[in-house]
Amino acid sequence: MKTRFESLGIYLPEGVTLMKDRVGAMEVPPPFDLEAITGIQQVHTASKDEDSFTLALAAAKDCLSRSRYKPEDIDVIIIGSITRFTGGALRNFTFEPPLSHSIKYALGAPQAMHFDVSNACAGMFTGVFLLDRMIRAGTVRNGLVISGDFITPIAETAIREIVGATDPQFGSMTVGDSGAAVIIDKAVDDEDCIDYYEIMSCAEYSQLCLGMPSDKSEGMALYTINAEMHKKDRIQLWPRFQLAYYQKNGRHITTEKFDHILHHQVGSRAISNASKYGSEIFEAELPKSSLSVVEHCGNTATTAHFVTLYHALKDKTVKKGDKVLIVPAASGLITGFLSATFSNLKV
Amino acid sequence: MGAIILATGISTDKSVKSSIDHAAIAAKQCIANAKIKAEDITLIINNGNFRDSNIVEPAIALLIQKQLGINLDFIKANNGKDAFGLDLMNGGIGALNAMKIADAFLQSDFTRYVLIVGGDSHPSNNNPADFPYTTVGSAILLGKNADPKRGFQGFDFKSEEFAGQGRLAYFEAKNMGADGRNRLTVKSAPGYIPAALKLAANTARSFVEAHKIPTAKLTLISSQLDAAFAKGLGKEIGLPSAAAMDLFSQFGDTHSSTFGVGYHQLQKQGLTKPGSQILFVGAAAGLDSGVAHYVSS
Repeated sequence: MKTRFESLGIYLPEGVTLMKDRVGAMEVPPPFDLEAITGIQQVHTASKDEDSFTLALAAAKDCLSRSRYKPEDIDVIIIGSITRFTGGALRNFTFEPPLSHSIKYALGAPQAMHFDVSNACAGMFTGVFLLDRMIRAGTVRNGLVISGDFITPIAETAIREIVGATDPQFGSMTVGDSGAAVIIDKAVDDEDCIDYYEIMSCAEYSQLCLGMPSDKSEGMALYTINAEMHKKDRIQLWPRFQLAYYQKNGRHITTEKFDHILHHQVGSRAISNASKYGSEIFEAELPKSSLSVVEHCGNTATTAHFVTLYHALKDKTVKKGDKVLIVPAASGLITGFLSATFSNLKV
Repeated sequence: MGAIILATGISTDKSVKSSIDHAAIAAKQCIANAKIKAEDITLIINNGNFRDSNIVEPAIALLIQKQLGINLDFIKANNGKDAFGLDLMNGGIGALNAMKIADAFLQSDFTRYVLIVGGDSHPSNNNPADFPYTTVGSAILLGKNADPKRGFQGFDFKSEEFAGQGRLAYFEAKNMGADGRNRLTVKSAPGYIPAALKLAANTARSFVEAHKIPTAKLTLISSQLDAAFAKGLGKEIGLPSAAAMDLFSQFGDTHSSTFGVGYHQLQKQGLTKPGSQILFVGAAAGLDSGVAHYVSS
């Protein structure tokens, strides 16, 4: 049995911040062109009344609006945001109760089993993974995975606190706010399915990227040892993992015939390096069509792949029957591969 | 159904302040008790809610995975073994959600062993008086059992809305200064604990009735929101007065660790012999409740 992406919804706040303005606001400007390195021209930014919950709720409503399921049909609701801000301008970072409790009532799905997961930028992929396996095991029929990542507060901190070219907060300059939601259910045929999906955490590198409140000023912060985190060996954990899966299952990347590849949207150069390093391990070309919205949305953390997929379906870059290799990536260090074919997913 | 508890471990040393350390100590003890190879654990679920220094990335599960040394680098290990860790957050019932997930993974042979760890600490690691939870750690190792009459027999979860969601726990990112790594606000709404007890009792009672579970020999391992919670819950469900395990008098409210601590204590008392019937019942802010029926193997 296989599962599928039954519906996909996103929410991008109306507000936009240009990268040049964000860099211009830095107390100590960088000695390099951040826009040129990352390819990010702008990001969406939430208004003062929005928070992680409202972004998630808007995306979930968008997702449900195109689903064949009504809220009362949903078996499981999982929230996978990194940020857990509630209370709008108050910015209360909430641990208990889970955001999924409030959201299921806001959506009209009180019957759903619910919980939150936290797994850095792989939060939504964690929810999809759990649902994929639970549906395949027959213990649930479907589920809704949601994230609202009001993540730009870390950029506010970075703007104040970055002091040099190797500052661990530079990654925070690339983020944008958003919401995304997907419904997963049982596939009805191979033309519209998650063919296979594996994910792992290589915890040797769990301390290379830490998110927590700053101890220098008031704000949330993300500290990444970029030189270690983005080393070729780290990036190649993904293709090594996928190659081992293929060797075990008698497959090969060349016979999979992917039409597109979808990496985490951390920046244009990083996206291009990921495919390049992957090709070296597979000893084969990866799809030339690398889906990306990094220029206009930046790195939207947990929602990045889903925001990108939404746009690729909307502008018909991904056409009926196309097969996409989706590569999760997150702090921890988390990586994996998800092969999906899209035929009926409407956006 | 068929996932069974292979081993447990707990960490209660008061000199340990970190929830990560507590969970890792408990997990090491659990793995040693199970006499398995740690590298065969492929799913690690941390259901702790409150984190050292309010760390929100990466998942705390991965910091625990690192301390345990489980499949840390797929390339360097070069043995084809991998693991996946995640944090599952659902107050005091997250462990029950994790058990249901583990049951699905194990039934379908997606994994051989699942490790569920719990542990909560105030972010400052200083245990201030207004933090209602005891900082301990617990670990439960689940594996597969061939006998469908042993292991987890069923789960149910029910929620309701309540003023102030019963209990809210958060830090105020707009009012924390540069001290956010040490801040946490926990606010309990009036009537939270009685309402949580009522919901959990209703969920458990309807589950027991629907599944025709004989109550005479059930042991109740439940949330321990206060000293009277377990006994009151047992009574409301209709269980014999001796059925409810009192953990509060020894440990206080161990929150995300409660089910692991409870099963561990039960084992120590020799009450997990094959066929022993256990009802796990959780109550949490939201309001949320969960129930699981387990038969020892």
